[in-house]
Amino acid sequence: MALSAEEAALINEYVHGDRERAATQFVRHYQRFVYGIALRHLDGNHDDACDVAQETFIRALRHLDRFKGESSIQTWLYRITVNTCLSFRRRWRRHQRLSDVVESDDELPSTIPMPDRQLEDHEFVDRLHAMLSKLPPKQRETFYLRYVEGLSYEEISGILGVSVSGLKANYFHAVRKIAALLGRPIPPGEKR
Amino acid sequence: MNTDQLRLLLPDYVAGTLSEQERALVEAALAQSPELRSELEDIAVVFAAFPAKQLRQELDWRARTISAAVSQHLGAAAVPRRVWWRLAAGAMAAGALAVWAMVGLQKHDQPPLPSAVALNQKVAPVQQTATTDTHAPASSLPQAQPHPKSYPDAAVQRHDSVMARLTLDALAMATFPDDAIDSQFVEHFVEVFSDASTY
Repeated sequence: MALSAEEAALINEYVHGDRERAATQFVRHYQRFVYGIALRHLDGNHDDACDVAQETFIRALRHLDRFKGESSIQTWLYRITVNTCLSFRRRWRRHQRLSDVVESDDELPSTIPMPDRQLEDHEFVDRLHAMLSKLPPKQRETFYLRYVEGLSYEEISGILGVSVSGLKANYFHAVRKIAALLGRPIPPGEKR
Repeated sequence: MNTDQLRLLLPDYVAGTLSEQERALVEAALAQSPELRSELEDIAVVFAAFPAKQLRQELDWRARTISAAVSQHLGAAAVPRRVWWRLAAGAMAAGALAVWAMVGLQKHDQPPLPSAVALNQKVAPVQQTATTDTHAPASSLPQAQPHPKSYPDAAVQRHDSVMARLTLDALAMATFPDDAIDSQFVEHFVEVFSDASTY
């Protein structure tokens, strides 16, 4: 997928123009997108998602001047974010094993969700995350990218590597399952 | 388009993101199918429970600190680069200083330049003439010879001192951060360094 004019201008500004300004603009433009991915891959933990988003942008900016535009920036950022989440989880598991060895129990693991934290201020996000965590990954990602981020099926197809017809099915079933979680009955025979 | 295909369009119909043609097809199917209408209601419940605009606003609010954190990190990462530049400049200045000092020492040990000898020889008769007024015999006067240490003269030494001072200033400026340097610091640095390297 070719770069949009806006994306190309941003990269051009970063490479040839005011690098610092372009970097700030780049992060501001995609921070919600990256944060949302990280949040879904890190059990809804806000602090971890922020850390991973920050690391993702630092990695991305390190390579932005060599970005070829073979995929959209969102596809590229999605991959970096998911990889950064995996690294983060690996680091956390290693840290947890070490903590087990020294029997340190004075600090809560950061991936344990804290239900009372910021629920009042972020009711919709946390409630949606609770629902999405019960869906299969493809349906969860499709619903989020389509409904929350408002991406086209073509864009999501580029990101997830699923056909447009497959995405439409994923989206529909995701919505139906969330409806069921909200107390709406799923008709018998419908795919779960 | 069959009913199953139209069913998959329902979420986009509720979200209002279908084309005119697709929208007309869905509405025609809804008019004929109570099952589709029931599904449409369920989808509408989901979208009402989680308004997309509200979700985006909350996510924007949550993610708002990321750009500042990244900027801060990039700013902090740039500092060591400046330190490295300063260290490199400092090393170069120190190298230049060392070379200059070595050249200076060699110059002191070398025989005087021919021009300096000629100059001293020109000066010698004047010294002789001046001394003829005394009662000492001319033959007993020491022969005017250019002393190896008589070159460099006072002017050259002043020049050396100024050059040393400039090089040490450059070394101090390049090695230490701007906020650590004031005129007093430079004075002190040059003083200490000059003592250590005694010209």
